[in-house]
Amino acid sequence: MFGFSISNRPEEIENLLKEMEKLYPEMKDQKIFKKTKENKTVEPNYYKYTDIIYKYLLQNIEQPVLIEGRHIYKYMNYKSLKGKLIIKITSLFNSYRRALNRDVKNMIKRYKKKEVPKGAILRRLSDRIVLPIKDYLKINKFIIELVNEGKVKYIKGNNS
Amino acid sequence: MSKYNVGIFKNKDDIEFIFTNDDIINITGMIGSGKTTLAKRVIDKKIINYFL
Repeated sequence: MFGFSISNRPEEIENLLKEMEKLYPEMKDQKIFKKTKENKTVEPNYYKYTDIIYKYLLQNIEQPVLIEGRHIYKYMNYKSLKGKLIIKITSLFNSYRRALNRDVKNMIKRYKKKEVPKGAILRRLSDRIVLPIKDYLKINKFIIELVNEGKVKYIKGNNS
Repeated sequence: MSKYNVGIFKNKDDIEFIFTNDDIINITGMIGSGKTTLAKRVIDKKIINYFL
């Protein structure tokens, strides 16, 4: 949900997260969202807490505000969305290119620095081959639901 | 207000933004479709307070 890395998050957002951790101590350091050997099924937490975080942000932040991320179609009930919704789609080719550029190249850099083993690159590559297809199917399902509900009032471009 | 209630955009088409004081804009979509690029473009124009 946060369009900033941990190192460049604005102070306002840091403070907001700290306040939220007081209300939900289990969210401290976002450990409940990180897959570990002990905790392999973190996905239900994404569904549970995305709505909670979204509602909290809107109640506690000055508006206008722009919220972006794949979590909106992956983990949220669109009925709880407030304001305007912009859905961006692209070709699977672009999606693969971006996923590979972003994640696999980063893993190769880390391998060169001897931070990760060679197997980690292959694991990330196989993850990323699957991911865009899953995303593509989910976003299309999300769009079809919106169209069926009569929520889509304007469509620009080819949304196939 | 922003021009669209629900807008579906392919690739990196230009989108016109006009915000009211109480607007909330949600951007979602596939990997590599330009969500963050669009959000940063809006921030660069200084027409919104927060980008989350």
